[in-house]
Amino acid sequence: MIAAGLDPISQFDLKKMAELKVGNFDLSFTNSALMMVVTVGCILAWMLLSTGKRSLVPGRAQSIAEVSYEFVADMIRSTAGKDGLRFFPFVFTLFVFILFANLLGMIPFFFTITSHIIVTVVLAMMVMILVVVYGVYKNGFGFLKLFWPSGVPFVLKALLVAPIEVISFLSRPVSHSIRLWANMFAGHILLKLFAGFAVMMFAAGGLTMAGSFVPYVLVLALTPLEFLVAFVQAYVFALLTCVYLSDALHPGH
Amino acid sequence: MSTDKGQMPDRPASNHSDEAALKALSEKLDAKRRAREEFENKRPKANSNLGKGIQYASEFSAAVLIGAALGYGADKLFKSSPWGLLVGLILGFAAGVLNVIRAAKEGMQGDLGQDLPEIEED
Repeated sequence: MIAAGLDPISQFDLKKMAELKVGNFDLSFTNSALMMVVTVGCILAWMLLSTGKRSLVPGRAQSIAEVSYEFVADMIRSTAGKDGLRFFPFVFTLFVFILFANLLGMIPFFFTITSHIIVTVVLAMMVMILVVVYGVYKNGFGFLKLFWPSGVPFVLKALLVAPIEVISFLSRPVSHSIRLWANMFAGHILLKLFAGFAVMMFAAGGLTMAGSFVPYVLVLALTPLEFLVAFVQAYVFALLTCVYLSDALHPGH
Repeated sequence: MSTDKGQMPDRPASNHSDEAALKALSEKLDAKRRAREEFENKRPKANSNLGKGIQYASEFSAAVLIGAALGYGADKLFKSSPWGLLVGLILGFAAGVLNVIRAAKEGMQGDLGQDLPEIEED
């Protein structure tokens, strides 16, 4: 019974809350879906409540909203250039959604939706499809200049550089999704593992009971680190989205 | 704080000492703003070692996996086994190294990344 409660993997279990089957697809409402609704609800409430007054001199809540706007806008301007701002709604939505999902996942007993790779894969594929579709729409065949850098001998370019660039490009959604997922997954496993150690060592009594402060201190140190990781990963995901979008805007640099 | 600002337009702005005070205030605000920007620009760089490791590992392994998958697909298509897989793995390895170098350059914008090989990205 205790072992089941301390299992570091069980926190990622999906639990069906309402059955729903459409044809062969299982569209049941799970705890993951519930957390997504909570995440979106929190963001909506935050944004609507903080910008509802629209005062010229912002109050505390409104200035937080404005600072986050500026933060994402500056990030886009510095990586994708001024014309990258047309993607502001997309990047801002991604950033805020991942940030809130990560931070809400830090609350005990809350499910972390970004700790499931399918969620991050969908997010990364959204970015990749947008990059390819917009890049081809805006540049036509010029988009292929991304794989055809100037200043390299032709034979070398055709045989070596272009294939490597293509593979590097195709690997982007993979690494983009794995980075976010693995960070959240590993962080939450670590937290649960050390917390489990602390409880088990404390329950064992004797000398191990005295030693249980070591994993306890580790949990204490890891928790703020995980909050930092939650923010940094949302930031990195949005930042790399901007970098990829800048490729769609200016292929061939 | 906000009530102070709210009263400001009521005061006569032509007064000389008021102008000086406004100037001082705007200078103070500018300094605060710069400090905040510096802080915000620095904070996301404070990545954890685990995070860095995961990033480089994912960058590298993703490219190798994609290269191998492409080579395997080419083998199936042209019945050229095992050459496609071999070439794909090698190219994937090269792309992985390229990915890691790019990621490392992005991550170290101080004097730390100086000894990394130069990649033309103009």
